[in-house]
Amino acid sequence: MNAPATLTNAPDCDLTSLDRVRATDPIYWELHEFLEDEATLLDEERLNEWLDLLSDDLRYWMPVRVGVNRAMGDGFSRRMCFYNDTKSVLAMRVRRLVGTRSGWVEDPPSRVSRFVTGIRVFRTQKSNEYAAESNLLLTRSRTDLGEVKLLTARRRDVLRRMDKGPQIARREIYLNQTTIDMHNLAIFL
Amino acid sequence: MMPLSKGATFPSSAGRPLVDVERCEVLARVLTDPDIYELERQKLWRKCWLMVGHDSEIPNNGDYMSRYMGDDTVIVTRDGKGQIRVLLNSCSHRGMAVCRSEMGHAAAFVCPYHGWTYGLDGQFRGLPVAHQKMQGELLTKAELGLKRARVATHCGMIFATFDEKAPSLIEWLGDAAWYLTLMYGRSEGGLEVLGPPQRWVIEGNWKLGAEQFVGGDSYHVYTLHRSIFELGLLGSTADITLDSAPAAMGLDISFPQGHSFRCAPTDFSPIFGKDRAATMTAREKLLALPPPGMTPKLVEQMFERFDDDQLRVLADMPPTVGGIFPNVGTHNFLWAHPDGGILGAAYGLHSFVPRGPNKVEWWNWQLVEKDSPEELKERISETCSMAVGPTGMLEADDGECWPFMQRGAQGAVAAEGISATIKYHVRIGEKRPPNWPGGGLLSEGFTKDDGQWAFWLRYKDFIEGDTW
Repeated sequence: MNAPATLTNAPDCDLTSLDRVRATDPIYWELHEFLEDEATLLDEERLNEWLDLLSDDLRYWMPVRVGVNRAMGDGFSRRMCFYNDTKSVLAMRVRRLVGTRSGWVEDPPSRVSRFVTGIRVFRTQKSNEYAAESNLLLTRSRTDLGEVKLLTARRRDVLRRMDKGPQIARREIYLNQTTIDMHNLAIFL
Repeated sequence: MMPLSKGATFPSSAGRPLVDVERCEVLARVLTDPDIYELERQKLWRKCWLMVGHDSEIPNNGDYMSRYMGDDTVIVTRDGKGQIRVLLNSCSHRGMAVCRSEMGHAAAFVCPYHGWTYGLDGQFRGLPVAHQKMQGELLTKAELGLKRARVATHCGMIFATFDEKAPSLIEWLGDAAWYLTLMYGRSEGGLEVLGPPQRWVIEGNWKLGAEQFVGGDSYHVYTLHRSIFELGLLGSTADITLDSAPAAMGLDISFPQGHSFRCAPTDFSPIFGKDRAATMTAREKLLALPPPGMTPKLVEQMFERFDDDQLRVLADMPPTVGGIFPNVGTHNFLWAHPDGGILGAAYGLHSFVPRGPNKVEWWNWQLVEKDSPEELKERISETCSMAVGPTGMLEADDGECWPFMQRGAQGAVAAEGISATIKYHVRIGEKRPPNWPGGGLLSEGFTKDDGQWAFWLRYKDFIEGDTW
């Protein structure tokens, strides 16, 4: 059975048709370190520096997911999203958090750690663009609460190698959660 | 559990009523008390018409989706004849969920435990090893069907109730139906969801969200969402003051059924100049600046459907936010994208689904006109996630607020004296704008507590059992 009209499967999640960039290739480690550095900037709330890593034509996309029978696919929505942002929208979100007097949604800030693992890199049709897949485990602690809230996702990025270093040209975030067990999301994945 | 009779009070509340109609105050323990939660299960969720989704979510015969009515799990289906059904998701045998997929398409529901099978209309179809009569002889086949709720729709919104005594949906909505049609019934083709609703969990009582939306609280916007004005969104500038905030003046409309809306004036003078704006007709205004989510072409269609009164309200003072008792939020307002291009909107419906006294699951459906161009649908997908939902720059703030209200209401000292109540002292009362065609209690001016108080008065009816 096909997925209902409002659902889609994660596009091209099977990257096996693309050439894998092996860990013996220096480009693999350049992009691997880039994703680690990016996660560190977000963990440390260096949000304006993080924006500098995003290309001007970026699409930052996190679709809603539903838990459906296997025959219907993986349950991602085509158009219903948590994020469907261009760079200027992300810049506005960052400005709201650190550039206004009322960004109290994250003030006091959440304490967040991003664990990026399972990084796999592939060549694409464009010589300077690489597809990178990674797993994300995000832990979030808030105010004086002892609990740690979790989000887990598979990410699919298009990374573009530029003279000044890699940039993120596209990020797709495929959550494992259908219902987000958090009171809001003013943080980035 | 202690049953409450009319006017009854809780002993530990020093004789104070839960909803104090003289002082216009509500005991904060209404948010935290497990006994009150149990009362709500029996006296409120068991009886109300509840919104369980939008008909565009199940467009074809055989489509279904899993939903909640209070704590009860239900399946919303479109059966073989195209009729929408709402069925308790509980096998008549041992109570196993017969449907565990959040949505899908099926010919029947087969219970995974022992294989009892039901049609999409809820009727019992059969079971394995039938010759052994595994259904016994106490109950007939007709009695073994899944429990069915009453179902009715308005502007594509699907409502259901398990109470046979409940009035019709149209009576339940009352004069609010007219405003709902203005928000959600503008076009021939109707609305469709962008996809399945967003869902997220907030550690606060369901009434914190419901009171804000169903009560049409607009006062909080100037403080809680101030960053939006600092960013220059919603037509504002960073140096905004409370008096110059957009929609500071407007119209609160509340209804004895507990619903309410906030209507905000549309100012056309920045676009067309004062003189021109003063002489424009409603039709000219609506074509020049279509209601959020519409195009001039759809506006032309709307002229065929709506009368002059309806068009005048939509042009000059449209309903922008509000809600339907007990737990539905409504919103429809323009939202610009920082990259420019066509105007987007925040357009949709909320539901606040209870998860015990200290937790609520917030659901958010996003809507577009079925017949609007793909470009506009995509734009609204972008602007909805900018504005509303857990990632929305407006509603992320609300999610931050309610858990702290919940925590504050749990203290022993907080339950005494002044801090024991949440307060609704400031009301406009009846103040009708001239020639207003719609019903309800009309309270014109700077937004006050009228809408929220209407919510609590209706809540009181239910908790005290004075329901229908």
